[in-house]
Amino acid sequence: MKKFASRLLNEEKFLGLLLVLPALIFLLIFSVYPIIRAFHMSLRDIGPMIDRGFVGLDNYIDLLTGGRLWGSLGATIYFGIGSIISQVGLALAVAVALNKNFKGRKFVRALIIVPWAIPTAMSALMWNRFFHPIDGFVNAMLRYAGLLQGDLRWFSSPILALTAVLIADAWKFTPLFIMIFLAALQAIPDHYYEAAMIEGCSSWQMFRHITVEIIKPTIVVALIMKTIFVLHAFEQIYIMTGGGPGAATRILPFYAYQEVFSYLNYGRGAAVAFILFLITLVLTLFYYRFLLGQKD
Amino acid sequence: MSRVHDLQGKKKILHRIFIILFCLWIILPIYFVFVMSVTPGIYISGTRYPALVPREPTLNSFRALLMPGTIDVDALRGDTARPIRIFRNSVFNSTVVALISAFFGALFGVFVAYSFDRFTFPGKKLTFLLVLGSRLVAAVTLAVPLFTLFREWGILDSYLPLLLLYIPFNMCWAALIMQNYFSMIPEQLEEAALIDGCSKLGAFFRVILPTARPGIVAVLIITFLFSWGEFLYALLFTMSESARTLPVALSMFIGEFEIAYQLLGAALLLSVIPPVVLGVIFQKYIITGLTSGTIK
Repeated sequence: MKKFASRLLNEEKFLGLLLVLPALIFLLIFSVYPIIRAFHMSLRDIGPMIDRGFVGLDNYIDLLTGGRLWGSLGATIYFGIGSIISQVGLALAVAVALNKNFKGRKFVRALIIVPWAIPTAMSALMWNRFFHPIDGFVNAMLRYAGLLQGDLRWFSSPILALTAVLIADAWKFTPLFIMIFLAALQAIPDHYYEAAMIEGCSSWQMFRHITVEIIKPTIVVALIMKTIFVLHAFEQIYIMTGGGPGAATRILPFYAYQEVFSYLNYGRGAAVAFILFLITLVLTLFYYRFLLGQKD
Repeated sequence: MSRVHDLQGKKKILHRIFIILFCLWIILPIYFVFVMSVTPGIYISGTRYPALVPREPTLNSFRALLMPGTIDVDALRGDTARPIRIFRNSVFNSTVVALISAFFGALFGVFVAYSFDRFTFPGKKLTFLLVLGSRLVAAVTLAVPLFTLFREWGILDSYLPLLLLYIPFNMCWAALIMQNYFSMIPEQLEEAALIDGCSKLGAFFRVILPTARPGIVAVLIITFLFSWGEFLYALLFTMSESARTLPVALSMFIGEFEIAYQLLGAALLLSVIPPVVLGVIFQKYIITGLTSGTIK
């Protein structure tokens, strides 16, 4: 018996499967099953106390013909484009700067770990406090600098609220992309640049034709990651704006939460959650196919 | 360091200014939280020109949080007794949940990674797809159906829902990071161990795991930090002080109470110190772990 067990354990097929078994069980119960359950819920008219049963695609039809989903999609696009462009752009600039020789390089590299290590919720709490219209530090600095007389009400105007969230989000998430870009930059052999210098290339030409060309796949990975982060973003919105003012910053993940836990419409919330899942899937496949040119 | 990374003249000055501005952008928010935590509330709360440098600094708020009873909390102004109790409970909850889920997440993730890298077995493709794909699914997509499921199971408001969700999430990150590590370890290592009479499992535990130690450290830190900071599941699946973790507890500081700012500052600072210290100490491992999969 013992011999049999040890033979089995040395069998590649058995051992391979055994090692992934805990993972497989967890993922089937807590990832696959919930998605199926979400889809099932989205076909029902269901709330905290009542279940009026199967209603077909009514929840989806309501969503697609009503204004909330489209408004939320719009907010997601604003937030998404704003954060993707600002963070990937800023991260690239900082990474290029950090790849030069200067005193204190080690210190700055340690510093970029800090916002990455701070949980998003706590970063959002800090920034929520900083953007307080009366005693927040952002307005205070503007007043000390003589740029502001009254109170700038950051969370009362759609554009200012979005800006505030984008700033807080950039502080928290840019460092991760800086780390990723910096690692890619350091992998570029110096002699590429040396050869270009001998040819008399300008720094812009070197950046454009050497740096960007080589780290293009890394940039695409960063774009994919940031897109996924946008479609997962929750605490920044929940803590800073609550989706407001009005529905100006009500991005999709927050909207799904609201349908279920504020409006207590489980079926419709599940439908939003399922739509969010489909959007993530389609966007990721799009990036892989068209930007990386990979087939699977 | 090659000369191609040196800068001269005007470019050098612009580069240094950019670096300094970047450092300020990272440091200032943390500095302001520090100012908040040591400056009595009267110099900040409700004033349009709050103190930007510590004024009459005291450590009362830290003492109130860490050693309650040794200090007259009324001096801090605002609601204090309940937030202090909630803070202390949630630190304990966060620590327990983060340690357990980091350990099991990393363990199962390492198993998966090793199995993926070394063995072929039936169901490998499916498992791989699930591990990769589950990173795409927004927490809110899973949270909606899981909320009703956990209610049926009667496990809401305990550590259990958090552990059951953090473990698979951590596991997937761990698997992807570790697969890179294992692929860099030559298979001859195991072959030698097998010849010496080790079983396949023995070779994994005695030879491969110790070799992959840097990767395992990275994975443990990253998964610990994730569990420490996770917000949405903690918000939805825990309701009382007995299970609520830090990020949610802190988010209530600004919502539910007329909170003393000094106390909020100190609580924020205390709750970001563990992740930041871990991040800075293990930065090398973390950066390698985070970036190894992205630059290929």
